[in-house]
Amino acid sequence: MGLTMDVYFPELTSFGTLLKFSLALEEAATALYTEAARLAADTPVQQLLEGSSQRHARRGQQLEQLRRERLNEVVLQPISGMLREQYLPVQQVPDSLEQALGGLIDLEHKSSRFFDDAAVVAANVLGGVERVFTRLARDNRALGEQVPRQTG
Amino acid sequence: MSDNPHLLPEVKKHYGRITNFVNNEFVESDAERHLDVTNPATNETIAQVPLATAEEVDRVVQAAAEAFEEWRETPPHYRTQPFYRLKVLMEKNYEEIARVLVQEHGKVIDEARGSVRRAIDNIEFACSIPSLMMGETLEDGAAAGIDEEVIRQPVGVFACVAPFNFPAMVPFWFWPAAVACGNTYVVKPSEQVPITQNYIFRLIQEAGFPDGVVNMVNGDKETVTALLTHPLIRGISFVGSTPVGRIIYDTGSTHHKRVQCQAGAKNYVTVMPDANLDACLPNMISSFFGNTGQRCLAGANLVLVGDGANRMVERFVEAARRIRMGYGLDETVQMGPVISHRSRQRILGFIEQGLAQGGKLLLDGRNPKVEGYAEGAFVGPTIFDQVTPDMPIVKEEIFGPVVTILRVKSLAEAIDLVNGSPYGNASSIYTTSGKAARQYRYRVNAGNIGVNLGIAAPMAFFPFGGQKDSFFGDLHGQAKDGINFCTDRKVVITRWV
Repeated sequence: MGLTMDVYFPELTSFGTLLKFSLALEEAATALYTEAARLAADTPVQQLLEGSSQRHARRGQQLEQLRRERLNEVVLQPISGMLREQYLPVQQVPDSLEQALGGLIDLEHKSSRFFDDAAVVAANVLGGVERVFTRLARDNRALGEQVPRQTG
Repeated sequence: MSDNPHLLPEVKKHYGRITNFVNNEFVESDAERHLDVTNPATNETIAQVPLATAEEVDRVVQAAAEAFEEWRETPPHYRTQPFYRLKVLMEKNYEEIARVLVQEHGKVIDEARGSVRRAIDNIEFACSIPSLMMGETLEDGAAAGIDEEVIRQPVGVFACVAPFNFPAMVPFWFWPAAVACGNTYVVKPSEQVPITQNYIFRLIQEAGFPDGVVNMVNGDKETVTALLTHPLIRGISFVGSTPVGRIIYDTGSTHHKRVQCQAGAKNYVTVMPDANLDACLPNMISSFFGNTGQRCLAGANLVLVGDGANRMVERFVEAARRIRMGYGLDETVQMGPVISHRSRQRILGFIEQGLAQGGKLLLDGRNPKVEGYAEGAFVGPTIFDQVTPDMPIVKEEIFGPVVTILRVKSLAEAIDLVNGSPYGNASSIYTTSGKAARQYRYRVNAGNIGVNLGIAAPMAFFPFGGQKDSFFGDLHGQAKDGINFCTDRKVVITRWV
């Protein structure tokens, strides 16, 4: 199985770890959608799941670019009030499409909550990133709604 | 070492014997003296650096001088091409550079990444040289029918002597602008952290600068003296302590060189009673303890104005107490070790002296427990109260995570206190009052002022330098100051008859 669910989600101690955590969410989402698409081979939802996987991969690239280009001394500060455990997606490798889809719904839900909360933190730290996080949270909600609720 | 599975991988365990870089080739030094380079988090030796002799310095400078004429005749827009390639290479190797930097310096990975970004910013600035280096022309500027113009010309060979605290970034404050202007260059990295530059010079080699245009020589005081006194070196840029900065400035100028010395600091951070602590406290913490206090822009003295100081102190101490220490390759670590055990001992000496003189420790960082890194050069966040402005712990640069708290009744008193320091590198004020902020930036004698911002670090397109004993010279590093420093302005008056 090509899926790696061993994604590292750091404690949320600084603005840098906030970005690291967001990258981890995208990595996990990309992997889980890819696996779900594999489990959904030759079904009507395969293409949708592949598309969502690619979308998360692109989001990850954009976040990596954001981290590289905007993280400087001015924003290297501790953060508080966000608990890692609140946002951790299920890290279990799915045995079935049904399980994978359940995992995706959970992941999109937690991701949207993470990015909503991160936007509040970012508002105090780095202008513009708040808007990026808010957009990503909205995107997570839309993606979550697209995940098929039934496999049959 | 810790068995933390989430540590980012080290690029290498050992980097061997560091080489010099001359005429686009890595050259083994023939120096007899070498130093071990140590990972300050683990105390492991990770490289050996040669301490070049005056003869080796001469060979490097001769190579740079020989390359100068051809390079200065290369049109500016061609001179920028290797910078574009270097930018791409630095982006491609961004993460590895940051990891090497953490390994030899000890700072946390995000700090390392941020400093690599600032190095790249300066490359981008250099890419603008065709516009930035333009001269000025005034038709009929001298008289009717006689035009006057000023053109900028490169000068020759420049060199920089870099400090240990920003191994990737600081040389980039100087050499890209100088080289893009048509000069040639010699970089002398800190002998405590030579590996990062060695890594970056592999990218410089790949970027395809002509032979001799950018060179590197490793060494210590003897090497620096050879640079300072070499007749072919036309200008020196230095970043480091004030005592060394004075020597560099005096020696360099005695030998008729342009010199810019960014020297030591003891930065005051003033907090007004109206400051929005919820929004600003994390930023203050970052100012005082970021880079483990080893930053020329770091806050060192916390000046609390008026009522409510005790409430502020409690919150500040609590936030500092929560800082997580460790090896910077662990992305959750917020503060790494200081650069060496020698530095640690020096910092501990300051703390002992502060205690002996009556200071009260609110937070004692002398013996931090850092799991898995018992051999590391760690000093925890340390906060002193009940100190007076005449104590060495308040006056002198400690270059570590040590903060003193001073209380004053008014903003005017705070400004007098700040201006009483012989240093003037940076100072910050936290307030919601525009009037107080304006008064602060208007009256405080420092080169960099932060308003609700604890690290007033100028970007590549702004000049960077302090005042008073924090800077010797006139033109600062970076931006247009950097261009003025490494070019001559020549006036041409023309009459066609």
